[in-house]
Amino acid sequence: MKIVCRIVRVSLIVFTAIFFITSVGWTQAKVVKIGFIGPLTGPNAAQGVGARNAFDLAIREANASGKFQYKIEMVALDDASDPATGVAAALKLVSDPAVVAASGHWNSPVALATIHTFHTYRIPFIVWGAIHPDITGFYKYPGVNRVAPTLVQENSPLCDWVITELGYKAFSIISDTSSYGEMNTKAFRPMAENKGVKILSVDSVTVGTTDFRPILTKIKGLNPDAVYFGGVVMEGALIKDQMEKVGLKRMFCAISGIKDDKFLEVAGPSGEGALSIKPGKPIEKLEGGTKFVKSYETAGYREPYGAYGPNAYDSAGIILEAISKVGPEDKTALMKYIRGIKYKGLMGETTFDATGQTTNIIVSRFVGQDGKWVVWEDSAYSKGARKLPKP
Amino acid sequence: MRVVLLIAVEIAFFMLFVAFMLANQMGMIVAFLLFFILLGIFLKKWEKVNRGLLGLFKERRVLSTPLFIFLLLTLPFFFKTSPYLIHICVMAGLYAILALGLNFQLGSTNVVNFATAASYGIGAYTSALLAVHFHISFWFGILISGFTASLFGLLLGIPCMKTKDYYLSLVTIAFGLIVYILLINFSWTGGPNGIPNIPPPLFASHSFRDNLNLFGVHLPFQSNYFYLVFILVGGALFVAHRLHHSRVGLTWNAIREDEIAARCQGIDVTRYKILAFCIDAFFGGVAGTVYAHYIGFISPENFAFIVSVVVVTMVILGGMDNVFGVIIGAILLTIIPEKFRAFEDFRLLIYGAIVVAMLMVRPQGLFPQKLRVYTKS
Amino acid sequence: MTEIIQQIINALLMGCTYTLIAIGFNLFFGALNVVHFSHGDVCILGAFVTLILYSLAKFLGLLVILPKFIYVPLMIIMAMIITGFLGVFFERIVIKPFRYAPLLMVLVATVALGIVVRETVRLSFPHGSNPQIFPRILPQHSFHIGGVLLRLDNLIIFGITLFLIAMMFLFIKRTKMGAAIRAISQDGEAAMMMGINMDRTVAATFLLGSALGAVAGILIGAYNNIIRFDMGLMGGVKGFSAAVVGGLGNVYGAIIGGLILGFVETFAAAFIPGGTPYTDVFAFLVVIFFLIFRPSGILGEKVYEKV
Repeated sequence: MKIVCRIVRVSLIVFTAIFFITSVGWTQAKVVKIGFIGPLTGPNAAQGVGARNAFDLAIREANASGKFQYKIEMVALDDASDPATGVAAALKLVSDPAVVAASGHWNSPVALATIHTFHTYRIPFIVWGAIHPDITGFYKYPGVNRVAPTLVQENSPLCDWVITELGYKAFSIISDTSSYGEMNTKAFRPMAENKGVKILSVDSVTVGTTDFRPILTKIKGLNPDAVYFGGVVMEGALIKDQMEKVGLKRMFCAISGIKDDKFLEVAGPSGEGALSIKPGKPIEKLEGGTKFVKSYETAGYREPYGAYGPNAYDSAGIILEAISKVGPEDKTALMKYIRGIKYKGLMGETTFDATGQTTNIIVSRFVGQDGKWVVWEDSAYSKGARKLPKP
Repeated sequence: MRVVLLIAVEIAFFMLFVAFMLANQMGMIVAFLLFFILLGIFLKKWEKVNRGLLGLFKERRVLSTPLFIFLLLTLPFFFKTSPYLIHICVMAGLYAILALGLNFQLGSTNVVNFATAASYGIGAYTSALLAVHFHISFWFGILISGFTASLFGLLLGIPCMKTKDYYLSLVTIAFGLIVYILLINFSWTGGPNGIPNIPPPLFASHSFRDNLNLFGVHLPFQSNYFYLVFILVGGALFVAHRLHHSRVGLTWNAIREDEIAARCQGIDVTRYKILAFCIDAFFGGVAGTVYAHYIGFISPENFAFIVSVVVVTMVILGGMDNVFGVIIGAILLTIIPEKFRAFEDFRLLIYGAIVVAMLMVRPQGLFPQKLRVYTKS
Repeated sequence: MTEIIQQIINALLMGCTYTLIAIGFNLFFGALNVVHFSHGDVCILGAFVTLILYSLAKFLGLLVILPKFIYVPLMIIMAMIITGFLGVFFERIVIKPFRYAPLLMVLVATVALGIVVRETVRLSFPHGSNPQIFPRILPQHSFHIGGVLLRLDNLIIFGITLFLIAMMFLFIKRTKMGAAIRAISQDGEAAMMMGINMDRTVAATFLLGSALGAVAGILIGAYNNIIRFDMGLMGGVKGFSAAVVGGLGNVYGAIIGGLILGFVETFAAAFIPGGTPYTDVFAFLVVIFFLIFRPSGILGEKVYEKV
């Protein structure tokens, strides 16, 4: 009994001591934090990591420029392309009083889940990648803006290209069951039908499916001119590959969801002739583009900045300009400033309309050629040297 | 004198726990963990000390239990600058409820049920859908979803009655996967995007999303849920404890020991097994409802197969058929991975390894089932 | 008409992959009355091992030297051996300690092992959470017969499956070790009394089962051109379901079960409008149906529990 008493007393003393010693480290210095959420793991990690690096570059340049009296820190969190993870990350950001603004998401479902959190806690939020129209168009949150065009803004030029210019008249649509895929179908279908196209079939597939042969064999029996795919890289690549395998040698097109080197890697030789569209211009043709590429290289990031590096870089730039003009204290003022901004960046000149959607909608067209995405105008296909499957 | 010792020990452990939770640097965290492990080993070795302490707690139950409860209730006050820590406690509580539910099947009856995530998800979705579309209040929602989940448990129980062991586990896995796939694909459940913007509960015009003001102290909004979960865990604990010490619990154990012998004794094995399924599902449904209204957003990913496995791990680690052990298992396996966030990637790997290790070394769990006492000797 | 034949071919191939996994389950259950829940993960592990071998060969420049029809079978055999031994290793860890313990332990232990294997694979590969590209090891030629498209790689997959089933059958029926496996499946203790080395026989069972599983994984990789670390979970559950539907403990049962599942999934995707996302649900419903009304499967013997 005595021993117990002694032990208890000693431990009490020791740990109370530790308790107080460590409490010294609990005070924090004044730091302004900007949150970044994106898919850092999972199937879209390439996009998220590249965007994060570009975001980080912008912040590093801001700190180095000496224009700000406080240290700006990026808090990068992973959403793993999963809405629940994204919401957890958002909650973490909003409960940190040092976070003044945030930017995020490549996947529309994730953005659709987290914007409510940022709106409730009145943290200005810029969407750099997710393109579901509802993110801005339906909710119209004053604090939420988006630098990327919506998928409606993307599907329109795709329709003009493949239907009017190239002449494909009968389509089969395959989309994934996520809201990205659903909205793609909802956007593409009426646009195409308005141009006199016949939609022979509409199918949805779950993200993660690997065998599309049954459904492609069924589509083969319907004999379409072309297949439109509303989804992202992995499923798109498998579908293109299996189209070849079941003998459905038809044109395959999709918007920017598949425009990634991984698509061509996975599809292999079957990726030849896949058509895609991407907002923005190739980086060399952008103002300040070469400077960005050089700074990115010098900074020594392991991964390429990917397709959305410029988007994230501009998002960071917009937030930083807002902070420098209005200060980091008043978040509502930040929101107002961002909504009214005229920002010149890598994506060109960005302004936001009344719903927070960017008004900047240039797109580039791409075709898969020899395992690489080639700008359509420069490709062998547009010059007639190679032929796409006939309409 | 012994009373003072009792109070001192309780407060000491409590402060240690609080300090552990507040610790930020990896070195501190590891130091705390090592201390706790050493303490545990030390107590096991020194039987006399162990029995002495436990005896003291039991003797002065009138004092030790309310003090313990009081200390737990003050947790949000200590964590008021780190709402994230309160969040961890809330999640630990929810998992404790799930583990208690699973304990009826895994622990008491030795039925390996991998569909916990499904009942969790059904409870969450039912309440979320009712709240978002029909504006049904959380308090009704929790009852309705509890019963809906039980219905699911019943549905699951029926095919399981005709199957044994492996086949039964396969059926539960299949059910869990079916529910997951259906949730992802039905448009009225929101599909893969889930259901956003679930309203928080309202209690006498105090929304759970608002900060809580107690005794003049501003507590972050998570504290609302903390107290709610605390009450629910208490309720679950009470139910589990009573069931364990009743004929029902005894029957479950009998079925576990030898099903054929139990049948020969006149026990309606089917009825009791289905009862276990339903109660487990009810607990799952209740936990799911709280989760949905707490996070404000649910998606099928939250209810994937792996969640079921995690709950199974908690029961195995904590102690099969030991109500307190299971709660400890749930708390351990929720808090420790959070403190080691840097190793988030390895979390599942470590869970799997823990299960294998526990089964090999100490299959009854950290706190094995206490032998039933039939007479006071 | 050609479309239906095409779909039948799709179904057959899907069935092949399930059958190969189911055979492993059958083998383990027949011999040891144990369901090795992580067998699916071992199969996919075989595919990942092949991936490693392929990358190694590429790195060493061997691919340029050796022609495809030499290095591919070589890689497959090496992967089979490696996976076989890994399978034995796993058995030693999670099944042997529970040989005489309650069923519950083996069940949970093998599920946990599956998780450990999956996560280890995921963590060891760069971007492990993403699907990994599987090399195109099978010839990609195709030809038409009467309007139906036949591919060489599909025929090879089909052929390999039949070959392996036949080989396994011969092994079990005609060799001494096969006889030992049959003996311990009938009565372990009696077999031991007859002088059969239980440990060695069990090891042989797992070697065989895991090696076959590796081929299943490789064929899955070749068929889909990608492998993902979590294919083992679904694959294992489906493979086990196939074994159960066909009748656990019966080799022919694995074939029938695999075919049934393959057909249900293919035809659900092809002919039920909007059915594509729900193919797995249909497959599982069929399995549950069988489990309720005919738990011993189509070809299984009724098991009577002895008191």
